[in-house]
Amino acid sequence: MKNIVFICLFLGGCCISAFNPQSQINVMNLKDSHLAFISEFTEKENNIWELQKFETQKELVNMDFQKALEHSQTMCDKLRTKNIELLRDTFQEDENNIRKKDRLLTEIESKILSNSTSQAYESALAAECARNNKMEGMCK
Amino acid sequence: MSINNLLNEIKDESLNELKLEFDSLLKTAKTDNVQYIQNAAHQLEEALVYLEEGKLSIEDVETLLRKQLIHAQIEANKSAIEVQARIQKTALRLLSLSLVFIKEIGKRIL
Repeated sequence: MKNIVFICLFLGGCCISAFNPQSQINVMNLKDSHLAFISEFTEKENNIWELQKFETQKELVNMDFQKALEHSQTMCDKLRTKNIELLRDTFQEDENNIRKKDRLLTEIESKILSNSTSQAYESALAAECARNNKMEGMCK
Repeated sequence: MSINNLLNEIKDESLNELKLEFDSLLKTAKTDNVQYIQNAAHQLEEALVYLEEGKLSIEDVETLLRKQLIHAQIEANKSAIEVQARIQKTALRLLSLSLVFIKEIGKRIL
């Protein structure tokens, strides 16, 4: 073990940390929150555009990102933290897009945002599962 | 509706080569072995068709493209993680065990 740590340090800093179930759960929860946010502001029966509701929901999702980032920062693994920051960037793209419209998304607009969002999270989840000691039940 | 209609709207002749390159790259990307590249190309094509039909705005397509660029970084990180995890699991373990054995062999020789 001492040798592995030495070689890691020799290679230039922290190595990739092992699979962490909580990190995987955090990314899955962020995906659900992000997609629910898009759905919440999509045209459907009895749904109306409310700026206050938009701001409130946006803050709630941002808080989820903050918690996930804080958790990732406890594990000395820059790529894990970086991926959550990148996912947060995709959320900011979506919320800016919706905010500028100042109305609910059409079905097609919503589909385009949701599909690209889903695929980014799938890559981040696959990145979690690329780590050593992954739990088979939590990875495809 | 097709992307060619959109490309034909670009009248600047200095961009002709870029239009050809774009068309060729899009076709290649749609059959790429890497799933991310294939998905990105299909999403882009779908979005451009919707743009041509007036169902998406330029800003919507720009948002999609920026998200795909961010997604590309996540994919690159995933590849880096896969490689580093393999180095940790195999190469580092092999080197560590080698150090242990070499020390033992050294003790016997000396």
